Amino acid sequence: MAGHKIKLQSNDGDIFDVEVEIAKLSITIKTMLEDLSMNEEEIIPLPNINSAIFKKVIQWTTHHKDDPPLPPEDDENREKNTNDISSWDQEFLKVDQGTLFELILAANYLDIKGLLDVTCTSVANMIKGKTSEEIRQTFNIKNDFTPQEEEQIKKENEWCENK
Amino acid sequence: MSIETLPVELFHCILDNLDTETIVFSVRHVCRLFRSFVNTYDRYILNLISISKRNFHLLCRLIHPHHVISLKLSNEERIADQIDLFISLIRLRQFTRLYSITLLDIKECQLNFILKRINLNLLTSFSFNIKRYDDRRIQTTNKYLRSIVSQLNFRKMEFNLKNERISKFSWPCNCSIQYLIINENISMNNLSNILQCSPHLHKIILKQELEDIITNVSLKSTRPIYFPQLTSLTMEKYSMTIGELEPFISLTPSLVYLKLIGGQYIFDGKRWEQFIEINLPNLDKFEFYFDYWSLEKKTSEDLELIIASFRTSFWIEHKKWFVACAYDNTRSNIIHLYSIPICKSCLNYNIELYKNALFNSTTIMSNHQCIYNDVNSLYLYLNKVLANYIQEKYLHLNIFRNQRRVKLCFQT
Repeated sequence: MAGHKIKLQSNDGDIFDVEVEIAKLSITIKTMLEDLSMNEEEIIPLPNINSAIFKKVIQWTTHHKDDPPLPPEDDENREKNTNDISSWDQEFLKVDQGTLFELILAANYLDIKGLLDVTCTSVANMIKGKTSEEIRQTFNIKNDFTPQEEEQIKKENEWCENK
Repeated sequence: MSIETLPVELFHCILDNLDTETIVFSVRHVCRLFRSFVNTYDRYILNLISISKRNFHLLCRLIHPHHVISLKLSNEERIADQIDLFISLIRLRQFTRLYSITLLDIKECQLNFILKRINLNLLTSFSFNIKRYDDRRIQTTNKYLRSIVSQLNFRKMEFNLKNERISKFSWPCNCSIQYLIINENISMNNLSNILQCSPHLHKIILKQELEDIITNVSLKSTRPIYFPQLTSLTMEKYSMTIGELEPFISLTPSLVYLKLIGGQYIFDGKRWEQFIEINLPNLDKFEFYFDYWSLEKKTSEDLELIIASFRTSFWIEHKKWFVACAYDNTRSNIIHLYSIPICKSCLNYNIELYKNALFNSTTIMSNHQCIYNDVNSLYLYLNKVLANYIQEKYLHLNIFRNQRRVKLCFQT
């Protein structure tokens, strides 16, 4: 029923009134509502999500509430999806890396496939076309390979150059 | 929070968006953690088409077949006999989790060799394009194809089988295929047989011609056989007259999407309107590109007459289908009538042709960016006219946002 709201509580105690139809884009919340027959006054706790991230999740689900269902996944879709981030989503995902990874975790916990797809695609786009060293720089990762392992990698990549 | 703190299954979701070469040659060598994540990744889409020989060998060596869910191979020119080489490097029986296979320019003997060894039970999608047929192997090929098409979870098939081969293939009844792409001419009889055996087949793309449509029994019969399961039909090279096309399309009353590309004179908007209202009540998207070569030279008045028939409320307000009509001043025998955005994937961009086009609605054409989204292969004729037009109108190549190939032709 449009306009009908439920209360959802983030792990730092804030309570959010969210329209049921929007909240149900999360399969986790939808299942809770249906399986536990919770009434509208009960507060549903979300122990894995803080307020700041949950606000972003609500912003995303509100914008996408009328989206058509996602097509079944096949490799054609997988290849196509990689560049398909709408301009709204691109703007939405202009956040620091920490927020982006927290959004991935939240989308996974709440089981919102569309949000998980677009956040993972966004991280993948930060990797595409980069060398290992450039990826390290992008995500501030330390190269912890030993010189022997580095040598092994080099050999591996040269494996068939003389074939 | 950093990428290194993500659980492995979410890291794998990110890898789902990357090509195999990036995963194996870049991500895997970032650090030990990434290497261990990549080593357990088991959803590779192994596309060996258009890769270097060096990477081909490395990928065959570094990726375990058990971790591959989709395999694409081709006997293309870059690596001669790639499929034979692949067969010699990999133990095919280790591909136990494939749900999609694409084999291009394959010899029939290679096709049978591979299908005999790979586990076909999980396949949902199969594409093949036989370069060299071997009629001695018809029965074996048909046996494997039947086995694939009969799978309960099988959904999508693309092939280039010749008509006589399709005639000899006994399509299983009640098969679960939903999506079919045919890259070779097909007769109406063969298409009708496939549709009658495929109650879930809702999307068909015919890349070549549909033949013998008029002689088909289902059309001549007093009780024609309808195909209500079909909701999406694309004919990329149709050559029928309107008198042949209408009875065929009227057999598919549930169409939601129709795309036609061809060279016949089907330019009467009023006739289309009446036909669609009566026969295709659910049609939501109608894309077309017709270029007709006429014996007589056409004038701008002829163009006006054509486009006027698409200026009714049915086209503009009810369906919101926008149409353009154009002809080349220098070769005025050829008229182009097309829906907008242009639905052809391969376009010869002739500036003279498109800058003088007439539209059925005056409100749609201010923004060029919406016009060329479907074009992924572009032929540009570089001449003074184009240079002037670019200067005048600030025409930028980025209006063709999806093109993968641009061919530049210099005209003097």
